[in-house]
Amino acid sequence: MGKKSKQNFKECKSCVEFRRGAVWRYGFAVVITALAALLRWSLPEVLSETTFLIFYPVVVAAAMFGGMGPGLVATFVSILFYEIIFDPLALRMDVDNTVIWARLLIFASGGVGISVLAHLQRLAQKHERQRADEVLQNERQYRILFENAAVGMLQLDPEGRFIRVNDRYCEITGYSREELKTMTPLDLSPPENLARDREYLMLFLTGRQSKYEIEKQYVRKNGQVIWVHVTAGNIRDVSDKNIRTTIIIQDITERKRAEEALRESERRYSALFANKINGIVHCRMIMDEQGKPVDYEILQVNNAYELITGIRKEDIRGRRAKEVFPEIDKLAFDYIGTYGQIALEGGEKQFVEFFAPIGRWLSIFVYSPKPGEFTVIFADVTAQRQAQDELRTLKDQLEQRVKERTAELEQSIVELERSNADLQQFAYVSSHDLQEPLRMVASFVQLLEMQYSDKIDEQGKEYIKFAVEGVKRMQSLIKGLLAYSRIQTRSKAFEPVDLEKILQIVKENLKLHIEETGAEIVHDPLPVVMGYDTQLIQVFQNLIDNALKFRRANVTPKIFISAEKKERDWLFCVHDNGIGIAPEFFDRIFAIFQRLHARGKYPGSGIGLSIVKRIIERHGGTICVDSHPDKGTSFFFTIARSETEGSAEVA
Amino acid sequence: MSNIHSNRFEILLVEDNPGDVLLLKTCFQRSGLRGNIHVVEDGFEALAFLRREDPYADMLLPDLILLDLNLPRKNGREVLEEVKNDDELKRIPVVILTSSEAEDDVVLTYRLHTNCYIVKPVDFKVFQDTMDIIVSFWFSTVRLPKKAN
Repeated sequence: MGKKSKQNFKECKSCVEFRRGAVWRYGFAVVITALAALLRWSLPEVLSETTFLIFYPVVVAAAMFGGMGPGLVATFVSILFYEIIFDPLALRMDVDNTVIWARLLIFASGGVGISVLAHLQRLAQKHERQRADEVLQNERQYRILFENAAVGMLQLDPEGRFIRVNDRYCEITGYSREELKTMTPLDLSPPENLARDREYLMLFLTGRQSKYEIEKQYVRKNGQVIWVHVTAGNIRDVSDKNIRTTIIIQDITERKRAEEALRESERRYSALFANKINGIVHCRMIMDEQGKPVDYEILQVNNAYELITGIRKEDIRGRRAKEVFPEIDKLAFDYIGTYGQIALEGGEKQFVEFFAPIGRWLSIFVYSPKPGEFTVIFADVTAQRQAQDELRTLKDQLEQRVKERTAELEQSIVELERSNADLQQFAYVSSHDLQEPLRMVASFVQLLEMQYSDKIDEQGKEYIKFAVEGVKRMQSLIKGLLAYSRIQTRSKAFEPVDLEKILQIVKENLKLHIEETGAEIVHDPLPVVMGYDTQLIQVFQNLIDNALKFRRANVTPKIFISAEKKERDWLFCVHDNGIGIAPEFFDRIFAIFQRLHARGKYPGSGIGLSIVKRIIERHGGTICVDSHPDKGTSFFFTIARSETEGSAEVA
Repeated sequence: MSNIHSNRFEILLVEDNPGDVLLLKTCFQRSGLRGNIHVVEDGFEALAFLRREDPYADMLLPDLILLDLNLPRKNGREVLEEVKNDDELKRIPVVILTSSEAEDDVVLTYRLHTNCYIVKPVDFKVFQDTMDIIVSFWFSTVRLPKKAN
């Protein structure tokens, strides 16, 4: 309402202006023509010929200023003045009338011609002004449109900077006008698209392409990535004639998302359909009066359906499920109920089930293409299923077997530990308890000999001697057994043992024997190892004692102890120049109570080397022997290298 | 040697093996000990004797205890521990006389304040020598407190 009255008022105003202009222009024509007539009248007669020259410019001026109307008025007024008022003499004189009329005619036609030209000129001017007004109006409308458009709009200068943007654009991008002033559209491109976007924009800004339409991504100020539809055009601006790039932006993120979802579901369904291995069956649900699904009608099946089920299309098309599979509603899985739910409520479902009527495992996908109907897409997974089952059975069996074996082993370990402990206890206790009766036998036999020496003859004394000897040997064996059983007991952790010191102790222990035999003992520098000192003393003592014991007659015993650092162990060797051992006995010497020589020649319990072997093994090492009869014997054994041996060596 | 004859020594022998009892008595006899050897066969009896409980009310406290380790009812270690924790009895020298050569036994009994630890020798001659040493040491060399009576 307001707008309209304003418009009317504007029209009115220009109307008044126009009228006022007409009065002015006609008045001007009359006034200057009158002035020219006055001028002509005041000039002397001599200049009578100037009549034409005076009035003619007046008419032209009036026409030029006022247009055709005022020009004509001026012409007629000047003719009136010239011919009737100011020149009656000319009429009265004998002047040729023809000349007068001719002059009049020239004058009049000249004036009219000029008037017409002037008028045309004015019309042209007016037209142009109107057009300018129109452009201005358009520009105003454009601006309103630009600012209030529901789409984002922007204008760029040839360098790609924003000249102006609208509110919607700010809204879409999340940047304010001020912020955008210092930016270009490329600042909104995701980094991965920057090169492509720049190429497009340059193509456009350089004018090689005047318009384009693309869909691209923008990164909003808050980092959110959106999809926009871009329509761009180069427009020549009316006001300054420059080319302006105008771009329209639409936020199409939602549409894109919907498209993507659509594409995704298309992909999925088309993949399902495209797969020829999948059986497809399209059915219509059949409900009872209460709307409860009770059966379904098979409408369509594909070729794969035939292949998988072995049922021919012709035999089932148009038939009801209960006809084809009479037991379908008695199966463990409720097919009708499941399909019914999909058919009636929509949605989709995927499951793997055993379909008893055909005896196959099926991977089933069911969805409803339209209410009341459903499509089942299925694949035969019986083989996989069987393989899985088999695998599971095998795995179960294996696990069971492992469990059993573990239990057995655990049981064995428990038993072994117990029997080991029993054995140790047995060895320990019996070696004590066995001592007592032995001591009784030996003591009383000897007492008998002493107290009744006069009543026992030499033969009897000989018997007593053997009895005592036997008892003593028995005792020695028991002591050995005791020592052997003690190696097993693990009462404390390994400690660093300096074998140099061990060897000194051993030499001290065997001092008498060494001096008796005159033995020479040399050795490599010996390391520090982790172990039990008392046990390692037994090792060296037994080996050196053996070397001394089994020396060759009339040969000075020479014992050499070497130590060699290996990757993980120390390799020791106790080498002698004694009687040696035949190779066939190498194994026997480490067995308990094994002896190679008559007791009378080399006394001993036959337990020493078995103790050595046991100790070495307890220290994580091994022992072996190399020997040549009448040349000498070498006992090789290893002991694990300790972590701390480096520092111990320095110490 | 005169000391041995001037005083009669009281010895308590705690030993369950009759053979050993006989052997020890024989040895002591052969070594010329003048003293009374009282024999009890287990730890309970030993402690009853020492505390002069029935039937040992009239007994004198021994000058020396010879104690076996493996005994019925209450073993030698327990007897030793009780003796050495008893203010009246702990002054009495205790000689452990056993067939055990176990290092643990040696360490433990000394920790319980035994006065010495002797392993019974197998050879009778050595056994006799050992008993001679005990007799000469404890009843001749060593000075023991004078008796109240």
